[in-house]
Amino acid sequence: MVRFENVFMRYDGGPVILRDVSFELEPGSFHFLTGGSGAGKSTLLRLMYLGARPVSGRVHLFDRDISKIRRSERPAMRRRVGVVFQDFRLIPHLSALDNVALPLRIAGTREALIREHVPELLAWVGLSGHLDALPATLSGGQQQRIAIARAVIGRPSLLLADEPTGNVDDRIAIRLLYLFEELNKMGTTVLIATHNESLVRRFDHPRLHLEGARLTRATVRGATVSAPAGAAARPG
Amino acid sequence: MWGRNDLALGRDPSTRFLPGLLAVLVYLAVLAAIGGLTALGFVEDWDRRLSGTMTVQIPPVVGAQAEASRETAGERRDAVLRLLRVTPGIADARPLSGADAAALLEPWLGPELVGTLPMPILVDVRLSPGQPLDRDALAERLENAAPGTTLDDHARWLAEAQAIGRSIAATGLVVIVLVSLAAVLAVVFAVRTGLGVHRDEIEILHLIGAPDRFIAAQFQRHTGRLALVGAVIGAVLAAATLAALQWTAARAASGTGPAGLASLLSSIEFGLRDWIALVALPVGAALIATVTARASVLVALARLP
Repeated sequence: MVRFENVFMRYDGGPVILRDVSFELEPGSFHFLTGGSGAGKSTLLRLMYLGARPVSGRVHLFDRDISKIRRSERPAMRRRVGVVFQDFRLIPHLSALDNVALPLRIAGTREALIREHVPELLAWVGLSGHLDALPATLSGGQQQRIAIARAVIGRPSLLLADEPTGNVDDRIAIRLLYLFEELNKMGTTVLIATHNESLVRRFDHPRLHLEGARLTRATVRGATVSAPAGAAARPG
Repeated sequence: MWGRNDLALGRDPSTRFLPGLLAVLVYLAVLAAIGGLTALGFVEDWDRRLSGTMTVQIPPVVGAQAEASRETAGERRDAVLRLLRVTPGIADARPLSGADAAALLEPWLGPELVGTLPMPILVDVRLSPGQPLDRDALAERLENAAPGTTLDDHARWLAEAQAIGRSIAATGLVVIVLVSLAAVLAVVFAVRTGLGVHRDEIEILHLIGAPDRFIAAQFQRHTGRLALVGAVIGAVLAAATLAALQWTAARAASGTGPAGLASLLSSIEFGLRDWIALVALPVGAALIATVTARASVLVALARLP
């Protein structure tokens, strides 16, 4: 599904964000991605949703080397990846319903189906009464749930979530994790970047850990980690 | 799906000037086009009417010369007509009546002078199609038949009129090209500003898998709609201006008679070519705006990863 081979990453001559990172995510796996602030979690996700290219090394997505994917093929590949951005990235003038419907509209889904499925999903994330609300009128946690709904509405093959529970209470966080697990059971590969240690402990899924720009620790189940020298890998 | 506008471009102030600007540009383009087409129409009309015709002018014999020649104007006219009617290549030769000739000269000389000045005799000559005519030999024989008689095949006048008409048409074309260029530049500016204003939303659409054409379609649809509204307004205003001009000319013509410039202008009829220009220019302007918007967005999006 996803394979990193000796990936180095930095932005415009800045500090190295990722150093010699190698791992592979098997299809249908569920992982947490942990690490301190600035450890490179968001950048690692960004490489996966084709938001950037590595300085060196190879990133394979859906068995394709992303450096060799033609530009015209990229939108279709991105539509197979659902992303929950850390800053939500909702379109401010669109209602909750229209924000969530965007991936479906881009994919050309019939409006009748959109009107059926989107309210259903928004109800599932606890926003049934806010279909027409603009993001600015909603709390951070509600915006985050809209972002999650937008990421999962198209049933992506790969779901990447960057701190998806950072703005919600524990009850909602657990509910959202169950949503991700449901998707995972239907075949979606899930990778969740989070600071929330209690959440990681509560859900028994393997983790990838970034520290000092390196993938230093990993519990391996469904993931193959080629840790660099000195890095420890232990089975979960 | 493609009819939606997810970028709220309608709220974007950077494109609000487009309808007004396009209205002005199309207004100018329509006037330039109709002016050029009218000039070409005149040239074609004159060419059609004058080809195959000639005018023979028998000047009046006045003063001592008249007494010496002891010829009357009627004898000179009859001699010329006899010659013309037996010349191979000439189908018909008819003298204009004194009243017709006076009517032609009256707008320039005034009614008082026309009545008192000695008038030349004009003979309208029609040539036989496909039958050659030796004009130089005919001119020489006319001079012998009635000294001073001249032969005018309108070639020089027509050449000058054609040159002027084509210059006007070319100027109209240049105006249309410049107007198109101005429209393209205005749209490029508006779209670039719009891309800057909506950069964040465009990046979101891009990252969640929107193809470039999906984003470009939103810009092209919005820009095309604004341009079409402006262009139609410009075309309607131009048509109203032309109608007003023709009405004014018709009123003025009633005072100057059939040979005046106002009469010429009021005689212009809105032909098929003019209607095509009136419809095609606003549609073309909207198309140019749409295509330019699409191309500008696609070029800008090509820089995204």
